[in-house]
Amino acid sequence: MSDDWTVWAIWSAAARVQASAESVREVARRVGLLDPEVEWRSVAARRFLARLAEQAALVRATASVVDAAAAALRAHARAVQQAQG
Amino acid sequence: VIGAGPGAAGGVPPIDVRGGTAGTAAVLEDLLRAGAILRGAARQVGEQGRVVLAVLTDPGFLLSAPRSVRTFRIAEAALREAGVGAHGVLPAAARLDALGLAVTGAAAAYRAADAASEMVARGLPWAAGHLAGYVGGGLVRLAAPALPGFLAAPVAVRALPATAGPGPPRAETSGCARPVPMPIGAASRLAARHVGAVQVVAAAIPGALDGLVAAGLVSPSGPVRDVAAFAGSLGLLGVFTPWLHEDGRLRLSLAQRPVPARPPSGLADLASRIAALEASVPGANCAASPAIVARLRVDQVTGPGGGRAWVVEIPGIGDWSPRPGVTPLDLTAAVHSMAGRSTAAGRAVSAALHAAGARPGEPVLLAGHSEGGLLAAAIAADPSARAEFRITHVVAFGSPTSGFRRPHTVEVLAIEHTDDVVPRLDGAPDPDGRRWITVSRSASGDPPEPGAAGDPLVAAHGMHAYRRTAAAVDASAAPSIAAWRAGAAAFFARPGARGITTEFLAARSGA
Repeated sequence: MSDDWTVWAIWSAAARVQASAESVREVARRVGLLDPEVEWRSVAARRFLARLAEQAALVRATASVVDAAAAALRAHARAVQQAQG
Repeated sequence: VIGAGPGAAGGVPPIDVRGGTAGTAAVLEDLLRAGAILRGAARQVGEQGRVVLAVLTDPGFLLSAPRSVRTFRIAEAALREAGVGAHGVLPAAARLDALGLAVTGAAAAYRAADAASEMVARGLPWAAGHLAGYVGGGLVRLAAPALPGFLAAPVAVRALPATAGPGPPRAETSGCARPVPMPIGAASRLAARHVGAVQVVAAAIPGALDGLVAAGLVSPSGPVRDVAAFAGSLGLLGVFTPWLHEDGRLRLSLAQRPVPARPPSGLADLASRIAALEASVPGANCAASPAIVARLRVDQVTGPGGGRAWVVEIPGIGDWSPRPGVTPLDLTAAVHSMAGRSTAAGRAVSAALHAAGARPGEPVLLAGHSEGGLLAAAIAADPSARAEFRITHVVAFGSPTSGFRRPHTVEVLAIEHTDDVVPRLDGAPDPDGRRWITVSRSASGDPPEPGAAGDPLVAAHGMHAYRRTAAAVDASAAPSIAAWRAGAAAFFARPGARGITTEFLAARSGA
C-alpha cells in the first residue's frame, strides 16, 4: 500500500471522528433542550431536570474528548506527511 | 393532589385541582416521552462510539505507526479515551440509556400502581356487590317454592317485546313549592352524611346486579361491569314498560330570537347563566313538580378575527319521575345518557346548535349542571355527535361523568363538591388525564343561599354553591387551570369579541 493512501486513511478517519464529535454535541444539545420540548410543570419533573442538565454537561464533555481524538489524528496525519518528506 | 394551585384569591374559596396539563397523567406522559428521547440519544451516542473505536483497527491508521510512532501513540491513546475513557462515548451512552430506562421504568411503575389503585377503588365495591347479589339471588331461588311465581321466575329481558311505547303523559304542573335538585327523604339525608359511601354503593350496585345474573335470577343483555352497564340494563325497562322509555322524539322551538349579547366572561358567568336557565322554567331542578320543558341557550361567540365558537348551556334535571315526562331532561334521559345511548335531550342540543347556525368545524363548548353536565359529557363521547360538530370542551357542574370514554379531542373540566352526592353516582373517581381536570372543594361552609331550604345535600348540589366554585376556578393560577383557560379562550369574552344568544325550548314530542 502506498504512503499516500495511508495519509488519506488517517485524514479520513480524523474527519469521521470529528463528525462523531459534532453528532455527540448535537445529542448534548437535545438532552439539554428536553425542558422546553417536554413542557415540564411538576416539582418532581423539575428535580429530574437537574439531572438532565448534568447529563447534558457530561455529554458535552464527551464531545470535547472526541474533538481531542480528532485533533490527535490530524496531528498524526501531518507528522506522517512530514515523515514522507 | 397534583397541580393544586393557590385556588383562593380575594375571598374566593380554596379549590383542589386534579388532572390537566400539570396532573399526574400528564407528568407521567412527559416522563415516558423524556425516557424515550434519552434512550434514543443513548443509541445515537453509542453509534458514534463504534465510529471512534473502529479507527483503532483501521489498516491505514495501523500501517502509519512506523512513520511517526510518537504521534501514533498519542492518537491511539486519544481514541481510546474518546471511546471508553471516563468521559468517553460508550460510558456516556450507557449513562444516558440508564437514565432513560430509569425514567421510563419509574413512570410505568407509577402508572401501573395508579391503575391497580383504580381497580381496587372500582373492583372491591363491585365484587362485594356481586357477592351480595349472588348470595341473595341464590337464597331467593332456594326459597322459590315458597314465593309467588313471579319472584322466582327469571326475568328474560331480551325475550320481551320491544314494541311497547311510553305510558300516557302525566299531568303537567308548574311551580316548584320547594326548589330542590333531587328527592329529599331519609335516604338522601343519609347520603348527605356519608357522601363518600355513595360512590362505593354506586360502584357496588352493578356488581349486585351481575351477582343476580350469576345466580340466575335475572338475565339482562350482558355482563354488568360498571355503572354505565347498569344504566344500560336499567334502561331496558323502557322496552317493555312505560318507565325509562326513551323514544328520542323531540319538539324544539325558539324561546328567544337571536339577540346580541356579551359572551360569557368566565366560568362563574357560565354558572350564573345556567342557574338563570333553571330558574326560568317552572319545575326545573325541582323534585316537587316536574318541569314542563327544558330551556337551552346557545351563545355564538365571534372573535376579533371573525372566527366563530359556540357555547351551549344545559340546565339540570327537570323531572325525577321514572316515567318520561314532557321535558327531555328527565330521569329517563339521565339513565340512557349514562348508558351511552341516544336521547331526546341529546338531539335537542344538536338541533339547537344547527338552528343557531353552528357549522361543522367551528369549536363547541358544552356546559351543564347535574344532568346537563352528564348530557354534555355523553354528547362529547359520542363519535356521531363529534362528527357533526367539533366539540372541543365540556364543563360539567356537579355531574357524574367519569364513566364516559375520553376522546383525545375534548377537554373536560369537571367541577364537583366533595359533599355533593350527584357527581359520585358514577361509582368511580374522575380520571386524571391531560385533557380531564377535576376541580373540587367542600361547599359545607358556604353561606346559605337566600330563600333556600337549607338542606346541606341540596345546597352542595345547587348552582348557588357551584357559582362560587366557578369563581374560584376563574381566579385560580393553577397551571392546569391556566392551560385550560388559554385553550378555551375562544368561548369567552375578550377584546373585540361579539356574542349572539339564542334560547330554545325542548320538549318530548311523544309525551
